[in-house]
Amino acid sequence: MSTDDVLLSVRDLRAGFDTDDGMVRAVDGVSFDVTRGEVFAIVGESGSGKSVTAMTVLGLLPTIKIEGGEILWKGRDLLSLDEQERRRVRGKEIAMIFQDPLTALNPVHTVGRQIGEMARIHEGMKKGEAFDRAVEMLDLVGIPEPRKRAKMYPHEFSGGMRQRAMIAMAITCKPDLLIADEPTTALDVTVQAQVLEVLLGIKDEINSAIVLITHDLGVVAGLAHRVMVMYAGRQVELGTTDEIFYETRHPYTLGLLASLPRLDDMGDEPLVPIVGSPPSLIRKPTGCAFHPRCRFSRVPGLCDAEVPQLRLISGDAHMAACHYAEELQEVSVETLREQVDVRSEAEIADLLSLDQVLGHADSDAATDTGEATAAGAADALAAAGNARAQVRADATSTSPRAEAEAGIATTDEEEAPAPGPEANEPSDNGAAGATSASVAQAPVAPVEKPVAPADRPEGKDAR
Amino acid sequence: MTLTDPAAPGAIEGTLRAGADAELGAARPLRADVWRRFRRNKLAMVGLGFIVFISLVAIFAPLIAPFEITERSSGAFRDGPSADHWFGTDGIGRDVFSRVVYGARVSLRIGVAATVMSLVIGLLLGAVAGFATGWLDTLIMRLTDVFLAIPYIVLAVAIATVAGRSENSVILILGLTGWLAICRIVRSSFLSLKQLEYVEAAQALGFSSWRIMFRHILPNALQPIIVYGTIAVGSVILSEAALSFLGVGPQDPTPAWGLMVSDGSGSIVNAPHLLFFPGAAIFLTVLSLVFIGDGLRDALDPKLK
Amino acid sequence: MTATLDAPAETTEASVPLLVADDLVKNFPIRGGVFSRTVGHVSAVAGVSMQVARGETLGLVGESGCGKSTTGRLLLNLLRPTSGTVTFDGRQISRMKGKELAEMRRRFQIVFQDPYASLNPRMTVGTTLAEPLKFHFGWPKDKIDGRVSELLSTVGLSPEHANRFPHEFSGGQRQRVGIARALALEPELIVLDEPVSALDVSIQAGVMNLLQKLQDELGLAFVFIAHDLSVVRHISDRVAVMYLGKIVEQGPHEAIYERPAHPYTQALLSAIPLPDPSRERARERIILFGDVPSPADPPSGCRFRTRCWHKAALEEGGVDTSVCANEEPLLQIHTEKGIDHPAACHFAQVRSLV
Repeated sequence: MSTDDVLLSVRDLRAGFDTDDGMVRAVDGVSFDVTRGEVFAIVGESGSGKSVTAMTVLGLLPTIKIEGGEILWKGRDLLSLDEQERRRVRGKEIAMIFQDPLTALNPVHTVGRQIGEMARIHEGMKKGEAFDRAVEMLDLVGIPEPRKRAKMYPHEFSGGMRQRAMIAMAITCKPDLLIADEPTTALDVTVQAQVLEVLLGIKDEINSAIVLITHDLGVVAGLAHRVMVMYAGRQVELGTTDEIFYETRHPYTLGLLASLPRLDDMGDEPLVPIVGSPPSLIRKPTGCAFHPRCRFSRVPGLCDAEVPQLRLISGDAHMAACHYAEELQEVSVETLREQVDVRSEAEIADLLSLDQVLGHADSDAATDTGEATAAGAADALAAAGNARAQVRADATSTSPRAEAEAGIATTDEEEAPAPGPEANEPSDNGAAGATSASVAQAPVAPVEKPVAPADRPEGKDAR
Repeated sequence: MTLTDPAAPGAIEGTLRAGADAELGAARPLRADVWRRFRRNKLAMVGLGFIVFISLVAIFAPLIAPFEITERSSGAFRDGPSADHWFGTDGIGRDVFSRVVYGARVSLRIGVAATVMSLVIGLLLGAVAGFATGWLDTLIMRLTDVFLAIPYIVLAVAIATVAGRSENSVILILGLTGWLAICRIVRSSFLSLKQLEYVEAAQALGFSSWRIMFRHILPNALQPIIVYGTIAVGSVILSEAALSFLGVGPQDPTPAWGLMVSDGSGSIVNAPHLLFFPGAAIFLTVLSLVFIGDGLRDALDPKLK
Repeated sequence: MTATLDAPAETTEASVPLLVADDLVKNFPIRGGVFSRTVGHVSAVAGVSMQVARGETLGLVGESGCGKSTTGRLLLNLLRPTSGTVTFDGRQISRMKGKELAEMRRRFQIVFQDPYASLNPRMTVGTTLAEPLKFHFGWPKDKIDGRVSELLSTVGLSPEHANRFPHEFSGGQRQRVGIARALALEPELIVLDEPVSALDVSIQAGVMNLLQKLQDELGLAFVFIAHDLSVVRHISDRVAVMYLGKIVEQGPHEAIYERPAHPYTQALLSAIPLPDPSRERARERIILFGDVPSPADPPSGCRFRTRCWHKAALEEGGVDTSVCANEEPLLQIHTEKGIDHPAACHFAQVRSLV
C-alpha cells in the first residue's frame, strides 16, 4: 500500500450533535485511509456512526459540530476549506450514492438532465454535450435504451434502475472516490446483485476507490478489500476482509458473525445473539463502549475503566480496539456456538432491559444498596414464576470467570440453566438479578429511530 | 479467552454505578414530555398565563367588578377612564370595566361551549368517515360540502330568527358551523392512522370496529384536534363579535365583548374607550389562545425535538 | 390451480393439516377516471394454495411485490380473498363474519414487521397485552395482570415493564412485545410478517431464538414470511417461494436450499451474499435481467419468463421455449426429472447454488 496512492486520510475525527439531552458523540475518534482503486467497507449497526462519518467527510451535515481531527483529501484538509471550495471537491472528486433511490432523485427533472447537471456544473459543459455524457453514463451502468431513458422521469424507473441512475450521476465526472451509503439496503436481493455488479464494474472502468457503508456482512465479504467495523461511534476493528472474517480479533465483530444466519448453514446451527441494545451515544458506557454486552468482558477491570485504543494486532495493518484482543485468537464463531446455550432463559431474556427495573422511581433509593434492589428485582421475577432469577443467582454464586484456566468457558455456564439450589441470596458480587442488566443503556428510542430504517433490507414490500 | 456469562452480575456492575442515574431519566410518560417542551416556549407560557388570569376574572367577576352590569352612574355618560370608572362609562352611564369583567364570562362561555359542540360533532362524523370509508364517507363528505356551500351569514340569520337573539343562539350557530374543519382534520387523521399495524393487530385480535375507532385510533388522532380546538375558541370569540355586528347574538344588557365593540364602534372619535377596552379584551384573549395553540402544536410534535 | 402439493413434514395423530389455503386469489382494484371507476386490477395473489400442519413452520419467501404479505393477511382473514378459501382446523374462515370470526381469531395471530408502528403509542405495554384478555375472556384484574407478567417473561422482558410506553423500548424489545401480544390468546398458529427485517442484525438472532423456543415449548405453527432466505432457512421446516402472486416452488427446506429446481429460486439463492469471503468469491452468480413486471399486467403463461435466465440459455441452445409464453406451468412434482418437490416450470432442473 504505497503512500502516494492514499487518497483519503481521516485522522482522529471527532464530531457530534448538540441536543437537549446532551452531546451526541456520533464520531468518536475515527482514523482510516483509503487508497486508490480499493473497496473500503465501513460496517456497523444502527447508531454506530458509519453514515455520519461518511457525511462528515463530504461536509453534508450542516448541524454537526466537528470537535477535532482532520480529513485529508489528496493532502488537503477538507475541514479547513470553506463551503465553496468543498463544493468543488464534492461531486467532481468525491461523489456519494445514497440509500433511498426514491428520494435521492429530483422528481421534476428528467434523469438525463439531472445527470447532465453534474457535467455542466463541474466541467462547464454545454447542454447538448452534457446530455450525451448522461447517456454515456446510463449505458455504463447497464440501463437498456439509454438515450430513451435519459428523457424519462425518475418515477418511471424501477427501484433498481433508479439506483443505477444515481450511480450514473455519481460517476459522471469520474470521481476518484465514490462513497456508497447503504446503496442496496432498500432493494430486493436480486436487484441488489445487479447493482453491486454494476458498482464493481464501474470501479474498474474509472479506477475509483469505493467506500462502502453497510450493515450487511455478506455484501462486504464479496466486495471489500478492507473493512472497518464501528460501534457506538468508535472503530473497533480494522483490517483486510480475510482478516476480519477469518481472524476476528474483536468481540463485537465476532458477535456479529456469530449472530448471522447463513445460507449455507444446515439450519441447525444456533444463532448466537449479542444481548442488549446499542448504547446511547450521549452517555456511553465507561471504558469500552461494548463491554456491557461483551461475552468476554472483565469487569471491574480494564474493560470498564479504560477506553481501548485501536492497536496493531497482527499482520501489516490488522488493528483492533480491545484490551484482550490477542486472546481472541483462541475463539471462533464455532466456539461461541458450542459454548453458548442459546435456548437458556438467560440468553432468551433481553437482559439489559432490566436497568429499567432499577430506573423505576420506587427502586431509585436502592441503587446504592445492591442487595435491596436485587431482592426487589428477584421478587418481581420470582413472582412471574420465572427461572431466570434462579439462573442469575446461580451464575452469581458460581462465578464463571475462571480466567486462571486456559480453557474457554467453564462448565458452570452450561449448568446455569439447570435448577440450582437455594442460591437465591445475592452475593457480594452485587445484586444478582438486577445488576446483570443494569447497564447505562436505556433503550432510548430517539437514538435508534432515525437510523433504524436504514437497516431495513427491504424498504418496499408491497402488500 | 474466557467466556463470561452475560447474566453474571459482575460483568455489568461497574457500569451500573457510572451510568445508571444518567439513564434513569429516559423513563418518562408522554404527558410530562409534552409539558416540559411546552414550558420552554415563552410565548405559550405567557398566553397560558393570560388565559388563566382571564378565567379567574370570569369566575370571580362579582368580587372584582365594582359595579353591576346594568348599574348606571348618573351624570357620568361617555366619560373616559377615571378613578371611579377605570375603563370609563358608556352611553347610559354603565361602568365599562365591570361590563368587561362580566363580559369575560359571556365570551368564554360562548367560546368554550361552541367549540365543544363543534368538536363533538366533528369528531364523531370525522371518525366514522375516516374509518368506515365507502358510502358512509362519501355521504359525510357531501354533507360537509353542503354546509360549506350555505352562506354562513344566511345560516346565522336563519338560526337567530328561529332561536331568537341570545347567547345560546350564538353558541348554536357557531357550534353547527364549526364542526366542518374538525371533521376534515379528524377524517384525514383516521385515514392515515388506519393503515398502521397496531390497528391491524387490533383487528387480528378480534376487536369490534367501534372499539378500534375510539379506543385505539382516536387517542392518537387527538393531537391536531387539541391544537385546533384551542385556537378555535379564540376564533369563536371573534365570530361572536362579527355576529354582533350583524345584529345576531346576545342583546343588551348582556355584556358580550363583541356586542360592546359593535355598540362602541360608532363612537370611535369621541369616546374611543368604549371600543378600546372590550376590543383589547378580545384581542388579548384570542392572541393568548393562538400562542397556546402554537405552543401545544410544537410540544406535541415529537419530531421537533 | 390445486396441483399436487407436497405433504407437510410430519403427520401425527392430527393428520388433518391445521391451515389449508385453497387457490387464493386477491385482486385490488385500480381506480381511474373522474368517478374513480375501476379500470383494472392488480392481481396481488393469483392462485396460491398451501398447507400448514400443527407445530411446523412454513417459510414464505419472495421479493417485494410477490404477494407474500398479502397472502399472510389472507390466511388470517384480515383481507377477504377475491376467490378461494382458507380453512382452519376444518372450518372455513374466509367467509366468516362477526362474532363467529372474532372467536375463531383467538386461534391464529399475527406479528408484524415494523416494531414502531405495531404498538399503539398511547397504550402502555401492559394495557396492550391485557386488552385481548379482557375482551375475550373477561377475567378479573389480578388474573389478567398475572398473565401479562407471564407473557412478558416468556418473551424475555421484565414484568416490571408492563406500565411503560412503547417509545421507551428499543426496536428488538418492541418486537418482543408484539410477539407477547400474539401469544396472549394462546393461538395455535402465528403468521409472522417479516418479524426481524427491521431489526439490527445482532438483535435478530435473539428474536429468532425466542421464536424457535416458543415453537418448541408451545407447539405453535408458524407461517414465516420473509425476503431473507438465510433467516428463513433457520426456522422453517418447509419453504414456499413466491413470484408475482404465485408460488413457483415449494418443499422441505433442504430440498429448496440444496436442490432448487425453479430458475427463480436458483437466481434468488445465488444472489444472497454469504458472509464468508473465500466462498463468496468462488460462487456462481446468476444475474436476472430487467425488472419485475407490474402485477397489474403480468406476462402470459409463465410469469417469470421475461427475466428467466434459464429460458435464455435454452434458447441459445436451440430449444423451443414457446410453451413458456403460451402455457402457465403448474406447480407439480416432476418425478421424471428426478425432482422430488413441486416446482412450476416447464423446464425445471435441479441446480445447487449455495
